[in-house]
Amino acid sequence: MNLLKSNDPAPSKLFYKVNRLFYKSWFKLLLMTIFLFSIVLLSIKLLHENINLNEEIKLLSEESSALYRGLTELSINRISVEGAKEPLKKEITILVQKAAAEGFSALKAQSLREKIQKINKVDKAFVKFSTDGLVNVNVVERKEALVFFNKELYEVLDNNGVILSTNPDYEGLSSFPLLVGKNGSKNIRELLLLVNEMGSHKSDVLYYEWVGERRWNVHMKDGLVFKLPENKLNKALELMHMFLNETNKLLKPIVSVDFRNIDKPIIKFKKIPPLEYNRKKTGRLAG
Amino acid sequence: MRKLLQSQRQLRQKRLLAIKKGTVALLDIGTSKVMCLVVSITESNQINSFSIGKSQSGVTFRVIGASTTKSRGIRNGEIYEMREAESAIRTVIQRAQKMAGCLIENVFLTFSSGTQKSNLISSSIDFTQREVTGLDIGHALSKLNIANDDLKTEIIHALPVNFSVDDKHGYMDPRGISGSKVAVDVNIVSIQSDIIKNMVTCLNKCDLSLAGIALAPYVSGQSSLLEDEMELGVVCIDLGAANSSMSIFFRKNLIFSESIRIGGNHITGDIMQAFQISFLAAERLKVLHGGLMPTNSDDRETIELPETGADFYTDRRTITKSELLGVIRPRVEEIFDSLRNILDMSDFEFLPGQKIVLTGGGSKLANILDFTSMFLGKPTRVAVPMRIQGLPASAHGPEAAAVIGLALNLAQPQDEIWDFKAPFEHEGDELIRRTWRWVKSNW
Repeated sequence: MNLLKSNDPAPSKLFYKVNRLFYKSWFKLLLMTIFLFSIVLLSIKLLHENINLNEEIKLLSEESSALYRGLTELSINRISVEGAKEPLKKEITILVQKAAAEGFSALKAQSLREKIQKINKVDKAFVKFSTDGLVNVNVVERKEALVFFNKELYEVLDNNGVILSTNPDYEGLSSFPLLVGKNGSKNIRELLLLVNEMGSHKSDVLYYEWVGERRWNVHMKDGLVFKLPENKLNKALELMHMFLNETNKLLKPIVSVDFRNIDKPIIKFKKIPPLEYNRKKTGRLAG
Repeated sequence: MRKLLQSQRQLRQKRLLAIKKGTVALLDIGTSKVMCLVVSITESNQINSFSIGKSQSGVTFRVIGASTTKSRGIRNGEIYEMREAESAIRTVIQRAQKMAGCLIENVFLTFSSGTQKSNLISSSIDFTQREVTGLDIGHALSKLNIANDDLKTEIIHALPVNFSVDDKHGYMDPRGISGSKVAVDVNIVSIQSDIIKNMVTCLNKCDLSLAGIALAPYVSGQSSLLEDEMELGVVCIDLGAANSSMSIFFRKNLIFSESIRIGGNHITGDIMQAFQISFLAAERLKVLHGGLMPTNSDDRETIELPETGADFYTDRRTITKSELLGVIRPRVEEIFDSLRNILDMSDFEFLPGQKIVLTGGGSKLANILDFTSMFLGKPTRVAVPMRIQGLPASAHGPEAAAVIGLALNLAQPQDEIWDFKAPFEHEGDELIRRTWRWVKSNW
């Protein structure tokens, strides 16, 4: 017979007795009585205290929704900005506070991140909210790479050509290479390579000039100018290094070295006027 | 005698109250399985009030719950481990309760025991020529020499099987017949009292109340035999797991009952021992491939032995079907040899009917019909218990004969000696008792 199972689990004695209890009519009656009694007690309480059920329900619902809001909606307790120096840090903190003032529920990590990334000095930003009200902003700040003299102003650029600040004078910026020339900021990567190639002579450079939007001139502090070619720049740089290393040994002062034709560099020496000319001039000045 | 009547009448009273409640459970505690049927009495208005000496009119019922579980803690129809048996009963009762959707409080119990004894005794009284009354029958019954004082045996059934008036036999109801002597033959069926006590204790532990008890051979016969067979005379052999019992019916009465302590489990045990396999594997082998009649192809038909934990490629063993038959058949022959000896003692050969009816789980063994008719030399049939309303198809097999018979016995119980009024029971006393009974049953 199929009904016979070898592993029938026997009910425990307690479970068996409880199970039997639920079949008994007096137990059912008892449960029913308890249920009715509690309903009657509740009704009496409601009638006795004259409780307006609608009001009570409304109050309860308001309380519960406030409680829900309190539980689910966060408030900003602390703003932590990491990876940024002081002026930028303050700027970001003000930005987050402004955004939070519009309401925390409206505040989205993504939108806040986009806002922070719009700041020029910020390269990348990461925003994280935590349940205890902490807004954590991680920032990768842009680094100042060079100064571009443009329209009578000194613009501080990063290595991508993003303007980080603008100064009317060069004071305090002398540690950065100076770039001049029309549309010089469009060719920053090449310039940075050039600066890097200058090596120990980096400090001797007065400024780098972008000439005719096609090639570089390197102006040294001692007045020497290297005119670099458009092509074969590496070879020109090699020659330039050689030249710079040997320049002290030269007897005559040099005004410029022209590498534009790399196979045929042209060195231009400083012209010394003849003594007669000097005398003439002195005499003319003397009257 | 008085004590016996009182205790049995209390049980009858419980039975009546249980029927009045409308739902009763029928529990068959066997060695291999415990089975429970929950029946709902659908037409309770048909029940007459309890009346001594009158056959009660039948009630109609419907099965509303059925459950079976593997037997635990029961060996040879006796409780060996109380806790285990209790858990098995709890299992079936809880499941049947769930199916029926009502609480089971009263239980009618049936089981088979190897200790059962059947004893046909008779007594008679003489009186002046007049019509026989119920009191005369009670008088004759009260003179029965029932040896029940040793407290080691408990009388389960005491069935008046034959009435005689003035040496004329075969009266079913002698009341109103004129005569000067009435004699009664009573079949006393008893078992060891410890078995009953353990059963009752076990039921009480499960919060159940015993409302009636009947032995499995008797009720199996009631469900498996046809009316004509019972009238003519028939042997009903109930092949159980631990006991094989035999009951002889004649004129619709149980006239003899006996059992032996060999059953289907012994066959399984033999297979287990012969082929060194587990009990479950042996049982499976017996059910799927077992048989009793050899055929020409038995030597060629190989059966693979289920080995547990053995290597699939190296440790496979096969046997032939003839080897299996060689194990099963001697044990079955032993069972039927013992049954034949009992049959010879019972004077069954003098009855007009000579039919043998097989029932119980063991009767499902292949070729048992041919084997029995050949071995006992009498016409044989394998009985399926008669259908009762609401019985699930899965519980309708020879192994459910006892529990179905119990349901039929519940509906139409046979008169027993305690249903007759004894002369020492006074009318006044009875009036008070009846009043008390009415108060108890209604409050």
